Amino acid sequence: MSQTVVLEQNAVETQSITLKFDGCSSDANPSPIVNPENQSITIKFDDQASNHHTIPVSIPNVDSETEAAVNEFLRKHGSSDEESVRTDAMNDLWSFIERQEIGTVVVLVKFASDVKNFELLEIFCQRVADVIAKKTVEEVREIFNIANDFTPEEEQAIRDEHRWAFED
Amino acid sequence: MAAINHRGEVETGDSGHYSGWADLTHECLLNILNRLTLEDRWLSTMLVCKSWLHASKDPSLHSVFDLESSFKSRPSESSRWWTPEFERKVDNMLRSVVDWSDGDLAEIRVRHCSDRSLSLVAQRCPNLEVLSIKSCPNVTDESMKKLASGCPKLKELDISYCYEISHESLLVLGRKCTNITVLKRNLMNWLDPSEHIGIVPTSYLNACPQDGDSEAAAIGNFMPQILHLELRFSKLSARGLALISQGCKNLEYLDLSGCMNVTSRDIANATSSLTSLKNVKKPNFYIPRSGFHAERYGHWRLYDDRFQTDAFRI
Repeated sequence: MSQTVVLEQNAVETQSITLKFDGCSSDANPSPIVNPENQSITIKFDDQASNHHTIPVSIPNVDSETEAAVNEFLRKHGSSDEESVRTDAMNDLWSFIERQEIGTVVVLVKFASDVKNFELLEIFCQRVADVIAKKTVEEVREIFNIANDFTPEEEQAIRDEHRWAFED
Repeated sequence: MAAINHRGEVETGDSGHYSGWADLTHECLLNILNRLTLEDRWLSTMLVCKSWLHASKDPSLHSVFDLESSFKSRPSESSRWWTPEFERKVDNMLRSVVDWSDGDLAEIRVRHCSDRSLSLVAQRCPNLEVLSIKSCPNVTDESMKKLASGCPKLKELDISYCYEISHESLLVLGRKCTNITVLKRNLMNWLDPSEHIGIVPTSYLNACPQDGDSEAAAIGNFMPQILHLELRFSKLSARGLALISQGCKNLEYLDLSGCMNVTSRDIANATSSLTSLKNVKKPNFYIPRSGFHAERYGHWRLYDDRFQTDAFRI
């Protein structure tokens, strides 16, 4: 199982970073891949000896409780191949996420997408979808803090062109 | 909450809480939108802002157009559905989705569309596999024949309650769409139309197809691969039924509820050679719509089983 750690740097010219990996038994020296576009350094290493270990990740822009819940999920989910353990982990994270502000969930979607974690993306995207369901357009804008960039004329034109058939 | 515009820029000081919607990739937005029903996508998200409108038109969201779920979830049928205005709105929705799907539309479940949208489907949906167009008074043989040519991958077809589609369409569909394994061609309950009165225009109820045998012949002769067949309230006779059983050797499910012109004996004769047949719904003479009717007519079930008579043939 290969793991990816993404580090994002601020625009600082010289900086040294020491990375400590717990329990990693990789023999190879991982070489960092620098991406100047998003100022990230990616280090990939194969952790074949240990299928059952997950490095705690740091999640930007969320509080420590949330970060801990996500890491607990990653640990538990990664610790076993058993269906029931993995389902429990997902249910726990799901219950936690349902109690969080939607802004946090949006941040988590971005995080899950960045680290390409499919299970996290499933949970977070589903939560966002559940929040959107059955709301009016105005409510959705309010909840997600999205400004309406249509002019009134544009908006009316779209409503006219795309009438929902069951609308009265 | 902090004022954050759609580009995710924080406009005033906030409590350290960051809500950068714009940071989400287009892929994440699609992932989220894909989890919503058609109704939610249409009513809750399309008009939120320009980038959401753009995402709403992505082909990946439009491989399935399921308006049937919305019809079904309404507490009852509405007479409004049978108006030209409603039909136009349905057509417009379907046309939009065909446009956005960019050839990927594989499943359409809708009611009350017309030739106006279906002819576009025939032109632009070569990958269509499931088509359910119940209760479409203005879908005619003309667009069905075009559809047969344009959608050769069709597997499942429901043309129930479409009275302007005749056996001619079934013939062409049989010839050109050789993958059709599920065919539903149910008619409305013409024996007791009470559930439809006041909703379905009476003239339409009366326009119910009479030539059950022609349709059965088309199916029997040209759809040998059929597995699942529904012909509720069809007027087919023993002759038509025989053609089906001769031609559709792989039939597993056959619904003949309300088919008053076939007796139990006819069915037994016809189906004896169908070795894959698991389930047959027989006419059972009268299908009660209410407890009152069950009391009044329930005893007639005896006639069907015990007398196997032709006396009730209409």
